[in-house]
Amino acid sequence: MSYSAKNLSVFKDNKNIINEISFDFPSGSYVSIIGPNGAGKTTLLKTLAGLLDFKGSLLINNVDSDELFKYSNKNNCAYVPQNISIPEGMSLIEYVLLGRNSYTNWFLSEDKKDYEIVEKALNKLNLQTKKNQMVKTLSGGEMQRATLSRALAQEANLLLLDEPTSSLDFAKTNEFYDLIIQLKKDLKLTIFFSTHDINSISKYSEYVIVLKKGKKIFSGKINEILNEVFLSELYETKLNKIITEDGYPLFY
Amino acid sequence: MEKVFKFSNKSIVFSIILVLVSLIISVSIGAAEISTDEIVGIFLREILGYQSNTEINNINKIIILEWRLPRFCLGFLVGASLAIAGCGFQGVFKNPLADPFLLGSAAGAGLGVTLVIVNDLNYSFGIINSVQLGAFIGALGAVICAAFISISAGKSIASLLLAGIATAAFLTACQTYLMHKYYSSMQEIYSWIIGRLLTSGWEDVITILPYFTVCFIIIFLFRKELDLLRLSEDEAKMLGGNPRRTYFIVLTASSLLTAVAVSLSGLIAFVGLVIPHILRLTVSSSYRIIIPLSALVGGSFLTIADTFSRTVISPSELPIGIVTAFIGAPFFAFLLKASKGSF
Repeated sequence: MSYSAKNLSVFKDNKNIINEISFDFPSGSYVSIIGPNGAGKTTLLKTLAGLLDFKGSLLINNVDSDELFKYSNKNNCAYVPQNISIPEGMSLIEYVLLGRNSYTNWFLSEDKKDYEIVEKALNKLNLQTKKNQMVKTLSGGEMQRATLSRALAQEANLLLLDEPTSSLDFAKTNEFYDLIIQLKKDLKLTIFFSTHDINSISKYSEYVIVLKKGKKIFSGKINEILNEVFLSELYETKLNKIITEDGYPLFY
Repeated sequence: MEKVFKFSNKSIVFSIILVLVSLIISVSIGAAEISTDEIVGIFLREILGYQSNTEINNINKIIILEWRLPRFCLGFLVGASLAIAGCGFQGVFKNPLADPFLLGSAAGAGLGVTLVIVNDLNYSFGIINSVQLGAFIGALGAVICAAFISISAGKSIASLLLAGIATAAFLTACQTYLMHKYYSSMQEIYSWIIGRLLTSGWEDVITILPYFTVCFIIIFLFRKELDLLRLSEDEAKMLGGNPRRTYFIVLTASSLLTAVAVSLSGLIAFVGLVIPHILRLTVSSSYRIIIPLSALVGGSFLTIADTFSRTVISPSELPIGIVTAFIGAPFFAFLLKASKGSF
């Protein structure tokens, strides 16, 4: 199975936000999307999520994704925006149950199976003890896990995360990356992940899409771009590189 | 795992008791003193078909069956309509301050009624009179006008809100101008604006019932979509929701409910704003729970307020809008204080 795009373009107010991007990644990949501000990272993620109109084609296992979205539903794909909404007066269990919305209909509510899946998702993210707590009272790290838990409740196999660590401190960021890697392994998820955190993705990510001003600069194995010349050119600032004790590159 | 979105026993028992209490208060209190035995006798014999030995005065029978009972039903349906419409507006606009008159329906209805009164249009269309028709057309016309302005301004929910404010301001200005020009009609217009439940029997109940039933079912079916809208629009879409469809259908049904309620009772403020709020603070914030309970609590609240309005300065009537605000505002303030910012 694979996720690929061919000549993908997105327009907003007649302006070309994404310009003929193509890529192809095997299912189960961890793909980071990097680039300076305004490169089109969020737009690309939203397009993959089916939230924006586009030209070109998105293919899941060589089948046009329009067809997939049309004939199945969007459960296959979970999108977590950068600014997560935190609804007033909603408990964590209610929040995660929203992930089962597509599996219910106009008349029937969630059944026993839905509750079992939600329970499992909460357990997986170590949130079982907080299920009756209001989401408003959760910490930043817990809220990120809550959104992942909702994504798991959706039974999605494609996870689209828009700068999920931007509001987390060092420790929580590392915890979050470890968790994502674990989930990817356990549940065979494919992950597209936009970020500015080059140092972390060099450690965790396998593939990368590099964007600048809506154009694809590179897509492929991450090792190929982890050099200071390329990244200095990309971000238009002088970057230096050192290798850490455990062998990962560190840019500063 | 225990079901999450369920009605607690407390909320069910409380709602049922509230409805029964409001029914008892409405039919037993009024200018004419009718004994409890006689009221029970009328209910048993005339409604439930049981034999009863209680002596029943014919005038009292008419007062109960043709005046107080239809007035209770009308008050209940108007209160329930405004409370459900309030849920719809608050859900779509994601704003607890939204009320059913947000898109200009109050101002539109006010102008419609003012035009009917100042032009002395006393017509009757079946069981609907010209004032009711003026209010209905005005309320719905204002919402449609706001929707058209919003469509030309980018179709966003924020533009709809602003278009509603602009429409309401314009229509209120027109109405105020007419009220000043036709000074002699001011009292009649003003008494309608404050809201009142005057009924001539079961006709008004029959008028509102089909609208109420259809719109309530529609809004209730969208309960889960309204819960999804508590997230961002993108998240709602990714979880299988269709925000645009929800905005359109829920706002249409809510506006229709408001227009019918306003045409029959005038502008009764506070019910649509506060009842969903009170339920959110005390029972649940999920629309699955709030929508049906709003119908029961909103309906009961308005009938109790109506009983006050027709008995406090009996035999005259106090406008019901004054009573709803007078009872509801302090209670709401107390709940807000008790919630200590948890809302």
